[in-house]
Amino acid sequence: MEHQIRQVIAESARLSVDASELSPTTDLYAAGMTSHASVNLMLALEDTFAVEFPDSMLRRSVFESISSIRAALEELTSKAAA
Amino acid sequence: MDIVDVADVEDSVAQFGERYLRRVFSAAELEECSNGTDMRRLAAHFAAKEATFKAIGTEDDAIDWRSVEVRLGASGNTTVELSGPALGLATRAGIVTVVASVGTTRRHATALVVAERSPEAGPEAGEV
Repeated sequence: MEHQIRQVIAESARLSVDASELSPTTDLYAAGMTSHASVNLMLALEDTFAVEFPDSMLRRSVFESISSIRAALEELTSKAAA
Repeated sequence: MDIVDVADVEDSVAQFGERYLRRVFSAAELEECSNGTDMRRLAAHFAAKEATFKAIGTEDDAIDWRSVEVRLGASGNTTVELSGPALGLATRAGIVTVVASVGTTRRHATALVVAERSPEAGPEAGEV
């Protein structure tokens, strides 16, 4: 999952650094992701993982790092599987 | 304050189409942007939304972009209407007025938003 997240970040987050160099906890906003790019990231993650982020997850902290995105996706996919 | 690259909005519309437009903008905003085809106006709306989020102090609150509705008047005046979670947050912070100014060039849209707090708001209210 982390590899896919990293790939989506590389394509959508428009960072000023190479996505392959990000640690799981690197702050994506500090790495150059704008609020508008975070919308693209959210939509691209939805496409890749076939989920939909509910309004309650539209928080800065959800899209802040690879780790936080992974946690959110795991929560969404586990709910979908239940 | 916020600045948005018009080309970024064009790219988002090209890549995600209606999903992007419907997640970010209200029906009234889309109508105001030639049904989502006027990229400069879309960028201006987005900049004003983000500037409003900053002004009311959303930090890590869950806020739907559509709960900040921006209207760009023909004479250059801009109004911002809050609803749902954005209105709740602003009310808790004691914010009574939100004033916005928006400008666009061929490449960029910028927005400056000032949120005014009620003098009666307590010291626990968010800083604006």
